[in-house]
Amino acid sequence: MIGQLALNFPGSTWDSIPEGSFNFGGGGVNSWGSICGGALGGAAVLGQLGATTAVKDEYLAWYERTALPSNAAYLDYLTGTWTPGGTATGGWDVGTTAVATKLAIPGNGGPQSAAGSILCHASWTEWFKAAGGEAGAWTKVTYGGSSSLSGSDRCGRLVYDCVYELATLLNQWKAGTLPATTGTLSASAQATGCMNTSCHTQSATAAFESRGKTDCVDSCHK
Amino acid sequence: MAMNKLSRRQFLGGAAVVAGAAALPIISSVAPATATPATGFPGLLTPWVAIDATAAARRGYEIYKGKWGAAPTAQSG
Repeated sequence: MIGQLALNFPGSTWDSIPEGSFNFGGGGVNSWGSICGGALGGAAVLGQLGATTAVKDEYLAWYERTALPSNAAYLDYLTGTWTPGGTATGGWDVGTTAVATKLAIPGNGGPQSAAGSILCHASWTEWFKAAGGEAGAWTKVTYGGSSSLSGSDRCGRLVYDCVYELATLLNQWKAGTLPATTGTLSASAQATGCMNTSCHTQSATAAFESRGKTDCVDSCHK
Repeated sequence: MAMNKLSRRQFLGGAAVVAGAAALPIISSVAPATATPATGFPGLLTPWVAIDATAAARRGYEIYKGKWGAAPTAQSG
């Protein structure tokens, strides 16, 4: 996204952001399983562009509640118009062992899951369960990833989806064409209820006992 | 637990490549900074030039797959 902003607005400060500045977010920040890099990066860009809370909430709630990954990356590959860039000079790689000069073809279809959270840990875990756990075909190293592959297929396609959604949302926001429902995807009713009454108290005179907008029960506090 | 079979790195969630689709082939030198510390960062970008969502998404995927330079937290697994 930063690269696209730099291309569209040459000479702007987006032009000077080092490549990889936000790669620390991988795996929920250096693989600690906290906020997913897809959610984090998107929120960072939105924030720097001055997006409203409603727009940022829209993006994060989309991440939390949408069944992902979609098949968009694979369908894009099928168009034949996607020429791998960067070091993927050899084009597309159909093998299961990564070739440095080729780009792994996105998986076709496969399990989806709604993360119920913006945390990498929960996001991945929900997907793993939806994929059938250890016995699932999609959790094998071919798709789930391993130390020998350049990133998991699931997460790569998730990135594709996140960036596409982010770009779409940005364009809508800037054009003033956001869906009328924008802003309604904020804190889930459940989370709001938990913060206000059912689990945490909200004293009128003291600081908040707890904070959060993400779903509480479905992902963690069962 | 199933997770024992996965490396910690396999808790990858899409990386910050969303923002890091910073696939800038060259880090260009910016002319005299237009943003002051007070206004900070990129500032308003007007008129808005629509982002090519497909191009951005492709770039994100490629970055995640490590095709635009080694990342400190390379998405290997």
